[in-house]
Amino acid sequence: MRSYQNMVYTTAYRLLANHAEAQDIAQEVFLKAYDRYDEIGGSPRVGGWLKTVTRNLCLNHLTRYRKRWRMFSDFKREGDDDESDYGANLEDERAVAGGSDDSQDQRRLLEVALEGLPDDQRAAIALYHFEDMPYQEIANRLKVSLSKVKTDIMRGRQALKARLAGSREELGI
Amino acid sequence: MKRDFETKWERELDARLKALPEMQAPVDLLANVMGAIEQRQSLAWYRRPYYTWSNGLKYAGGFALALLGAVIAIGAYYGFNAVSSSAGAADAGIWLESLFDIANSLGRSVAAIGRTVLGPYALAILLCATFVYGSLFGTSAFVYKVLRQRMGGEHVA
Repeated sequence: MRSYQNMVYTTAYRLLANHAEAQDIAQEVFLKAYDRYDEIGGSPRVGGWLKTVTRNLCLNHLTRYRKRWRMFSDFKREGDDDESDYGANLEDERAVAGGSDDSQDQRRLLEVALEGLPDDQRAAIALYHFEDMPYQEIANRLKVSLSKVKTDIMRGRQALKARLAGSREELGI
Repeated sequence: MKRDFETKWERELDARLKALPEMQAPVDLLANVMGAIEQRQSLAWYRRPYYTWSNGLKYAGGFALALLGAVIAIGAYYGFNAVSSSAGAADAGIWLESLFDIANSLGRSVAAIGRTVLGPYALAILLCATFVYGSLFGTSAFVYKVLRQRMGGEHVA
């Protein structure tokens, strides 16, 4: 479990961008793995199994639970509160930027920029770039149209580019 | 999997995202998982998830469910036949008929009270208001759907 806990947690966090939810999902994944230890215990594919289960649980979580409380915030202008969250995170980054090298800073900035994306854009980008899923599969898994997935990924990339460019200027790197 | 990126930025972003290191899992994750496992061990076998049952229990459970289904199906078949061919069925029909009669007369009474207490004009206004309220509800639901589609379809999360 120790060997895989970072991988499972990272996969969950990049899809959900919420520490508590990512931890809950990771815990559920390891409980499932424990229950099926006889089947997967000695298998070399255990890493792949854990990653797939993590991804599936996160997608279930995204499509099943978050949709309920976001139903009434659909008309919110895109990026309204995300921008302010991102600004706050950037302030934190500025505070720690002095002590580490440039590549580390840039990686951290990318993480923060990714976290600041709206849920639908971040989930689509994470599935496309981290999980190497094709557009159609992402659309099927997230239960949205293919065109929405393409739009979300395109907008997400543009937002990341703009945010990273802005952050670099502000941090002077 | 080979990716065909349209712009240099897409390719660069893909490389940079894939190069991100793994995050550190919370220190208490392991302890929490062990705690949950211990808690689950203390549960009786029938309260644990089905996939954790032993094979014998799974087969026995499946057999019991199949048996229960068969008993219900056979019972429903013979029960329906027995009821439909008995005098009880006619009684049930009469009973249902009287239930509809009661509902009908209740509706008439309410309408009569409405006419007496409110007057025909007030009753017409009340009906009209109900109709407008229903129409507006339908219209707003329609507008909501159209706007939602225009704003990028269904949200992911």
